[in-house]
Amino acid sequence: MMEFLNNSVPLDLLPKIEHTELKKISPDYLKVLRIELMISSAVVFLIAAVLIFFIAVLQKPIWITVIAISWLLLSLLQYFLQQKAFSACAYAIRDKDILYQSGWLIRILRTCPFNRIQHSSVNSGPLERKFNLSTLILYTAGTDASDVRIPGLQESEAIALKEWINKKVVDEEQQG
Amino acid sequence: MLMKNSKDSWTIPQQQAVVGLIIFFYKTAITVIKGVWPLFVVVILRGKSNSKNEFLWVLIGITILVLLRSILGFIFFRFYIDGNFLIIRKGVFKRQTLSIPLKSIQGVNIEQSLLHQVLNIAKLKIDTAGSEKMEAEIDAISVRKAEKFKDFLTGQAPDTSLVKSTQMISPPLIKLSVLDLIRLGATSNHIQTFFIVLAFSVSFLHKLEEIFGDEVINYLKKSSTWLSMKAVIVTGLAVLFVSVFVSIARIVIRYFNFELSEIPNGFRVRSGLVNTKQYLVPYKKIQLFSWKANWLRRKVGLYTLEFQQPNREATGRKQRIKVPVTRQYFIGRLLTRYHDDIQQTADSVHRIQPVYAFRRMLIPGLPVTVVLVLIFFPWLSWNALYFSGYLMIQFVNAYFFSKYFRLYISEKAIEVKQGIWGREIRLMCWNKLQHFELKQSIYQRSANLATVILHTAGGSIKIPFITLTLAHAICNYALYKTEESTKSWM
Repeated sequence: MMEFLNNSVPLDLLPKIEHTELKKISPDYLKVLRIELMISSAVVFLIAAVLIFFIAVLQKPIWITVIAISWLLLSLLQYFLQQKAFSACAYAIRDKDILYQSGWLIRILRTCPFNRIQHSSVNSGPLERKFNLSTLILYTAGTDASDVRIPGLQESEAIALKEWINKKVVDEEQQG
Repeated sequence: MLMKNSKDSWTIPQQQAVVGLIIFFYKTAITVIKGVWPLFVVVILRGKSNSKNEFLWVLIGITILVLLRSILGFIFFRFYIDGNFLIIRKGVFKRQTLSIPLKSIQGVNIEQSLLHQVLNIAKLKIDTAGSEKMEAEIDAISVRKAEKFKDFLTGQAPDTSLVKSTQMISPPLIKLSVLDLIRLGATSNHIQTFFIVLAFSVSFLHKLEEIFGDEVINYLKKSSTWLSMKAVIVTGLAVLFVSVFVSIARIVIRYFNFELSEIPNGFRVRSGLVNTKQYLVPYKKIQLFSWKANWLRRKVGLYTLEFQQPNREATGRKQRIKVPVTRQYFIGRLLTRYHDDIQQTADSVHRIQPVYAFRRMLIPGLPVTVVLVLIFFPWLSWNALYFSGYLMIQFVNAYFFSKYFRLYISEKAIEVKQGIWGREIRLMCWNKLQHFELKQSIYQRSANLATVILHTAGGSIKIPFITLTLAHAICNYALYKTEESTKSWM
């Protein structure tokens, strides 16, 4: 690698994100995702069925087969991608920042320093609540909606984290 | 009468200027007209003679209603200072009270439309920070009062970045002459304008169609019988001509009388032919500095400079101020207020990996081509394969993009130079960083490459296809810079 910076900052001594150990999110979250997928697939199935019922052109065996197969393939593909994506979901909390990794086709590592967090919230949908899971959302002033959001945390863990981060944020402010 | 510009003088609820009634009348009338103009057209063109009489009565009725509405609006509007709050009370049917903490006022802008100028009044716009939706406007007060109130409000704000006195403004740094405007207009992006003109004509046709039904379509169908090659060329030239004209007109309307001056803690930008707008941009609120030129402008040395301020959560409106720059020297001059250009002084310069062009050709090039060919195959049969030219376009574009892309890194800032035909340079100080993303597709993971996106509170910088080691170095350094510094980003 080319020389990166020509100054006295000891680049080798900086904390390294590539060596940070990431913690996996709760496996229960995969169940939540699968149930959600089942529901959405069922909805698509119903819509297809209604379309076939009302549109005479589609009532030929060939169309029905095509629709059925594409529905099945799409659902399976989603199932596969979901599993792959889930296995990438992991997070790490470091001294001064928080990391969250997600995605399989495109893996994204989002990182946010505590001293840039404006506020945070803990959300949980009806399915997540069933499994006692929550999503921690951290808002910065940054552009896009790509704030850091970490799903699949145990509810108590999410709240504890939120509180801990809030404390951090306040501390950072006082130092600043 | 000498009015003391203290808190006390503003605690009494005030009304707007009476001449402002004309403004309200105009505003209400415009909203009404915008809503019902197709109806008018129908009545005028289709109506029989006796219905025209009725129509006149309707018109008078509407006028009276509009007048009444504006008067009531005027009567019920009050603004005053209560304690540490600016209170604005308004609304005829739905009463509304805005209370804005004086501390949260970020800026006060004075705007004057042509009508305002004639009436010697001004519109006061109050910018606030905070996540709640609070946009305060006082539509019509006398210019003197506006200036005074502005002085008062900005004097209250703890934010010292706001200007307290207008006397300290030095002569404008950038001023545009008529010649500059024409140069800018002639070199602007005519293709973009072409599409705007096209979209406009299409939507106009739609409106006509709504009113007249099939007649328009029938007429067009009839006329298309004489649609020869000649007609196509003539129409094309006409649209092109209109586009160039519209481009120039847009520039003139936008940048007429353009002036940028430096005030103690920020830039003051004012411009406008019909509406005079004025913005104050505190230096420390500038998140990202960028300047760019299309191919034509690059050749003649014209740049558009942009400084982005924090996006406001509430309105989602982007706070971007664009400054046309006619001389290269100005860029460096303006940059001194943010951070100097680091192209010459950077500690290291990096490029994107050459494989970028090939990968861009595959994704999104290949799937898009396949889909296009499949869609058009039934009509064009094997001729549909001509769509594979898209692969070439993707490749060439991406090749030049990666050829000209440069990343400069220095201790205090990071800069990116990019562009296929034109050029865009984006400069960010490390302390403006909010959060970042490190992206890797499956291929990038296998080839140890990555894409980094650095987000500020206004705009972001994207660095595609660099080595993973470099990406990690950038990220680690970015975190180090944001976490060790106590320098605020705003």
